[in-house]
Amino acid sequence: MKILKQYILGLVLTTGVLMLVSCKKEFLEIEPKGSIIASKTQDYELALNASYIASSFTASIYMGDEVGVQNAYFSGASLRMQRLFKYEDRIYQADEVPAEIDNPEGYIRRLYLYNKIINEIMDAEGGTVQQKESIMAEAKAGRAVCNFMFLSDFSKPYNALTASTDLGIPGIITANVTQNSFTRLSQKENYDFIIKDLTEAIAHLGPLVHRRKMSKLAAEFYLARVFITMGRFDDAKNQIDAAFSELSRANITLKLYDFNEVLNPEGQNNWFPFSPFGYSRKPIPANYTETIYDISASSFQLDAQNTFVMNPETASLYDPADKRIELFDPRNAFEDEILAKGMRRPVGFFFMIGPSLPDLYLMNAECKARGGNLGGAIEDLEKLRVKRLSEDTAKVPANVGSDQQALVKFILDERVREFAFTGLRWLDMRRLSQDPIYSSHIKYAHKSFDADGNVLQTYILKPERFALKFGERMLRESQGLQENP
Amino acid sequence: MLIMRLTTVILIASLLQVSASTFGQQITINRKNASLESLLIEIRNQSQYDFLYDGKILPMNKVADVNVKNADINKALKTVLTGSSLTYTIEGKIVTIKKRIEPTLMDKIISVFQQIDVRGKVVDESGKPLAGAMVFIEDSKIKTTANEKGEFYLQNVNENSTIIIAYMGYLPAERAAAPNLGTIKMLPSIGELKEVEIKFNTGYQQLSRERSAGSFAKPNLNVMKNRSTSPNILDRLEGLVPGLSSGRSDVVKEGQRGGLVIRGSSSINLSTTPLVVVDGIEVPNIETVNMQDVEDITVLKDATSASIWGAKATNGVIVITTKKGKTGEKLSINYDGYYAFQGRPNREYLPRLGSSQFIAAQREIFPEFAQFNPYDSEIAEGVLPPHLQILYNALPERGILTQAQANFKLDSLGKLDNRGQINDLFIRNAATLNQTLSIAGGGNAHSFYGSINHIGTNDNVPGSANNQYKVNLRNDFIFGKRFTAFINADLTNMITRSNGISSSTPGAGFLPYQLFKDTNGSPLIVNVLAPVALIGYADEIRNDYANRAGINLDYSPLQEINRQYETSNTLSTRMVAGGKIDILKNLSFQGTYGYNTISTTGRKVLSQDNYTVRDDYMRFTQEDEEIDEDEDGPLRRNLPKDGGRLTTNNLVTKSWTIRNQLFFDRAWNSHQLTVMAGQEATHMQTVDNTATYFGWDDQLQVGRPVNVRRLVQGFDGIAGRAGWEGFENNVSGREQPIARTTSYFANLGYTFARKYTFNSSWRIDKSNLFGFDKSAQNRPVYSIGGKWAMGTEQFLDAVNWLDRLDLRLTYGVTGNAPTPGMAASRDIFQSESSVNYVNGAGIILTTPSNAKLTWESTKVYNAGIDFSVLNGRLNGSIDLYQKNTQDLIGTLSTSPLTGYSSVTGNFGNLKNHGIDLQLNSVNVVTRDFEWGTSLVLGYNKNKITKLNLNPATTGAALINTNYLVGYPMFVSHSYNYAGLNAQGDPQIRLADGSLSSDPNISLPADIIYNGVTQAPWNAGLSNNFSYRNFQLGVNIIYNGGHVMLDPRNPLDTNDPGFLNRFKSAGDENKTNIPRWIGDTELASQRNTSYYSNGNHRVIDASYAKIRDITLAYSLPQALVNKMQAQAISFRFQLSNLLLWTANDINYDPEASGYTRAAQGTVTLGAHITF
Repeated sequence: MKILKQYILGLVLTTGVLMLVSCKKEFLEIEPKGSIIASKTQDYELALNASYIASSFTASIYMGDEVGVQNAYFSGASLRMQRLFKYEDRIYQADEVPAEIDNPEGYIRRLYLYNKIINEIMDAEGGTVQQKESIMAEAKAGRAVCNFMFLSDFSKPYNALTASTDLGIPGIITANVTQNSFTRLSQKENYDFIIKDLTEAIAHLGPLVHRRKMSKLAAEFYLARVFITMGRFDDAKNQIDAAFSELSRANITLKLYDFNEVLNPEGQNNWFPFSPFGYSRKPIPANYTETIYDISASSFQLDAQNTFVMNPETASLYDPADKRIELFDPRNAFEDEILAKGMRRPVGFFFMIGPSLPDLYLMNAECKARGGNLGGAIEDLEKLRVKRLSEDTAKVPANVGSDQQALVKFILDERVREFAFTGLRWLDMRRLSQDPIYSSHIKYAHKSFDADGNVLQTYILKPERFALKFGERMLRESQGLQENP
Repeated sequence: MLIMRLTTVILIASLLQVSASTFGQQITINRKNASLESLLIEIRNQSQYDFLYDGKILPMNKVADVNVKNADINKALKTVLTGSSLTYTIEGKIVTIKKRIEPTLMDKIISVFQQIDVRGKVVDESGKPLAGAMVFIEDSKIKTTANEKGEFYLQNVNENSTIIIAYMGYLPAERAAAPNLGTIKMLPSIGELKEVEIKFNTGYQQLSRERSAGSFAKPNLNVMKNRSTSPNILDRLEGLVPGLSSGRSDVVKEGQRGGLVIRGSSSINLSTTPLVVVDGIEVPNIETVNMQDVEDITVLKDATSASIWGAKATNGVIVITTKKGKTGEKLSINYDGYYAFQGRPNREYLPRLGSSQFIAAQREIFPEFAQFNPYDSEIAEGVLPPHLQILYNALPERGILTQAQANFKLDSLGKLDNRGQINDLFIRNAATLNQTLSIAGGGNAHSFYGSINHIGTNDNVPGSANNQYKVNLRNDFIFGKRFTAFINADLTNMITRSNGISSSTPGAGFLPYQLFKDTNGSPLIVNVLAPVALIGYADEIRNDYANRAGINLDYSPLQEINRQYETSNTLSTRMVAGGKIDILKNLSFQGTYGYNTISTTGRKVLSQDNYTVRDDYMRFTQEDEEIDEDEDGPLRRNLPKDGGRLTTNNLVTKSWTIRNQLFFDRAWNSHQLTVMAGQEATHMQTVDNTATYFGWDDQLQVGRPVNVRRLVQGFDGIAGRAGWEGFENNVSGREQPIARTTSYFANLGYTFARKYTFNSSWRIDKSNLFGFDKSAQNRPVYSIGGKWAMGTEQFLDAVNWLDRLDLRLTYGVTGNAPTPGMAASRDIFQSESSVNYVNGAGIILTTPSNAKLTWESTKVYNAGIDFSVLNGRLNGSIDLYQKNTQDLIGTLSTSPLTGYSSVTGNFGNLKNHGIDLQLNSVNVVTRDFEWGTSLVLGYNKNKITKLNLNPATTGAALINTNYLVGYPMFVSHSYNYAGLNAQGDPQIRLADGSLSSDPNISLPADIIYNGVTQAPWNAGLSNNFSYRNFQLGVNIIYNGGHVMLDPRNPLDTNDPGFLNRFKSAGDENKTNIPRWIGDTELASQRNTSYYSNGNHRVIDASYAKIRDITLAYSLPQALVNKMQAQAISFRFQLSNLLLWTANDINYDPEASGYTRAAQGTVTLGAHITF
């Protein structure tokens, strides 16, 4: 009997002790602080808050025809930059992943996030359907931007006649790291998809509240840019009109800087002092009032700060009164001597390459000019030029203003003057290469210069180099991916 | 003396009784040379009487020839006991054997001749029996050995003789002969030769060696206790455990992954270091355990021994138990101290160019250098060293110096030599003082062990101090018959202080002419060493910035030394408490509860004059036309002009473990069964905080405010863009993720007839590892193992020289868990803030999901033999093992188009196999001299069998590959170097036999496999000698079978080989060192890696070193007794003497490039027992 009692006592004791610790199921159900798995609508919104698109050493910047190099500094630039400038077939070693593809803030990485949000947001906890739709719309617009940037780097310029057979980019619509098969769709499919994403997004997007948040204005702008790239100027015009009507609804300041003030050491709210790294008081991207949606391209490379320059031909496009040239340094870093033949050096640590107010004016002008509305075009041009040149020099020359082709060319030149070293010229070159009238606006050669501005080397742009090659590693790691010629 | 008198009573149970037996059976024995005990057993078996006797009264070595036939019990017993001093009585069915009380006539006669019988018991310092101790009679041939209980019995001993008791590793004891010598406690000698312990501790339970099939090893603790090269216990294990590769933290190995590894690396990206368990609880920082407090170390190597640790056991487990007081132990006090003089590293282990040669070489290359590096672009990139500044200044286009002036200046630079100054100013002799005082004792219900320890370390950096103070106290309680409990508290306080000298100490390739103080002893300005925030400043730019900011920006390393100090105070506590309750006769409950905290407080104070403070002040100053009205002058100062800077950091790690176990232990007939089951929960979390105070006045302890928002946003300061992204409110810090686990485990051990043992264990771990699917966690680990004590089988009885022969075979699975957040089956976001973000903050996707993720697991097979022959003179063990690791977690290549070109996932399988061998021998034992040897040898070969990584497609990529399917980990590949081409550029031989210098031409097929960079062979050889009061121990370590790159690199302009480079056409026939090229574009058309990674630079990295030689002397016992002590010994140790190295240049592979740590360092130590 006594032994039995002991056994019972023992059993009770041990079960008691085991129960004490093991019954607490929630012991393991703690979320480590600092990390979360997105599940609530608010989580997806927070994820979008920090998901800006950026680029570093964007390829298009080094391929535009406004760019030249100072031969003495050429070898300081990275091998990739040198090859881009030389329009070489091989940009990347066989083992390299293109910088465009594996940039952590770049469009491919962002596609993962946007696809995740698009596929999951409607099932998120909390939030109204309206909130979810607006988050979905932001992600879709973001996806369209990413796909357009991807297309611009790795496929040939859009041509409506061959678009249904021309190779575009793979359609990436899931967020799945284990996917390994990527077949390129046709350009038509790609552009249709981009237009669809943007159109669907526009319906649910709100007004501009932050320069890193996708807005209806930014999406309309982007759709216009896509249409212009496709040569559909009328469709573009409609979007631009919509964008202009959206401008007034912006919750933050949107206005052109008057370069006569900000680039004048005596001017109001000026950006001086100027150092070899740029203007000290130029506003940060979040506050730059000309920006509609901030996409920036970091660009500062210590060994290459004197390498790339605005070439003499481009420099000659600027009117002596044009203040925009002042954004560039006429000297090499820490040197006193002025560069030969008007060459100038870009300064600062990044370029702003996203949707902006000046671009909106210039797109509008181009669409109007191409549509025959020369007066309207001139009006838009001058709205911008008056902030860049002095009051009297801002006027479009009369002989230009009366000739449609001359005016369009003038607008294209204006785009060079406004967007030098942003890579936007490269995008223009791509579309102009398919333009029946204005393809001659492109210069198919890059030049290197000695200290006196003499041409030392010339590198020729072949039409197939409008598309970068993926390289061996990409082809090996992505089944079905086809290389560009 | 409260020693409990333990009388061992052996009751031979009658359970084996055959039911058919009848009373009064006749007994027949016919045996020669039989021991008394075996004869008694024989009688018992035949008579079925129960026998009751005190085991120690049986003379051990007495043998007799007995021949009785069909005798009754009385006759048989009388015959057997004849000649012994024993008598017997029979009551019922019980035979009681006792020592004869009445001296017989024979005894009286013997006593006349002064012959006596001597008995006694030999125990070690902790009271454990010393089986096998040798007992001699001085000046006679009579000797015996103590039995398993440490008892001995000698007959016919002259009453006036001296008895000497000796045991390997212990000081010999001498006693005057007496019938009962009582218990003789032996004191360990310094160079101990002690045989491996027989207990085996898994951290969860203690088993006797006989009852475990697992593979485990025990290092020689005395060698470890005497080692003074490092206070760290793990460092001291080197060469003492087979299969453990040295990963000493104080030795830097080039090209070899550091860290302690047991039986090869079984992971690529997760930890490969073994789990360290102290008193049953995993400890995060082993440094805080004092070697003198260690009672026992067991290294668990195979699945059966280790898999009870489950998901953390893949890398093996090192189980440490600390000392405790023993019940009834007399109060004892021990002191151990040593002073190790470690000297200075040799910075000139490999020669470098002296000043004049260096200047000459620089002058040679300058014309080409200047052609491609214009002065303006050069100064834009940073500070120019003085010789370059002179060379530029002498260029005609600059015209600042004439050629003659420049030559004069350069020649005078060439006459300077800074080696003496560097050695005097930046380096000092290192030394360590380590002292421990411990006290132990015990009563009936309570016993204790306590120690205090101080370690003062002077490293090679002048002005730094490192002191560690420790207190360790363990209390054991016995509450009645059923309940025992213990509580152990261990506190460690580590205090360090350093100044800024280590950051300004010039590196190995520093300009050989640059002095640090002038002939008057005044500090010199050496801007070339100034810390660089973004870009270095050439002198002109530096002066410009300094003028604009109104602050001096000169950098003088010597002055900087006292402009900074850093202190750190770490308090670690380790508390373990536990208890045991005997619930039933065979069932007990044991609880273990551990709590560890580590708290670190650090302060770093920069004075106002500190260079970083001045530089930051300048960089954060804006030249602003429109200054705020409350600021003065044309400058906007974003950092205070007055005061320095204080940075404080706090780090607190808390962890606890709760473990509840039930033990069932029963022995019946020939069966022994042990079952253990339990549950465990652990928790660990770290919280850290950092704060920065600007404008700090260290005397007044006050800082000055700054505009944080402006600092975060950034602006263009005097030297360009300035600002801190992520700099928030001067403070940062967070609660790190909590890591929790809960586990269930069970273990079963069964032994039949003390011959056949079966072990099995099972465990399941679950953790809150973030983002894991629960299904991925359900991976139980288990093991099974068997052991056959073949030596005890009857058919081996005839083999007299064999003492023990055990065969072991085990199989099991162990795990390795990733750290939280490392990989996940869901997308993980973390918070990030930036002024440019919408609303200033958001979350970013840090870890993309991989749904196919699972834990790493390793299947371990082990086969082993343990043997002991020739009365324990030679014993050892051999183990063969194979470890198959699957689902290795690592960076797995994915398609870059998914958004991630790689992701953490299960990317491969790995196989390790090898042999562990341990041999211990007692070579010579005489009264005064002993010599013992122990050899440990480990061979490990690993091979990657599967890898989800894209194979290299170019030769260059293959050279950089560490992991390759079909090859071991840490491979070394090289180009097939083919000397220089006519231009002096390196070329390689391709697979088709052709030569090329094209920088991008190589393909994987052109690459040569050289071997591994991690030594597959590790060995340790210990020889211990003792002569009277002297002991000498020599420990040699060997690492071999691996390769390394030649440490000399003639591409470096400081290396003497640079002088022999290609200089002009035709040199390609004289040298294979490539030409120097100044033009980066030209340089990009060749590949110097062909040279630096050429097969001609691969050398054998095998080496053998005497890790330490220790000579110890124990004071004679008589003198010691006079000093009121029990034992006093002194020791002298010499550490690190290179014996042999396989490479042609006689280079020590433990050296780090051009520098080699001090060799042949000296330690003096003492150990006193009161």
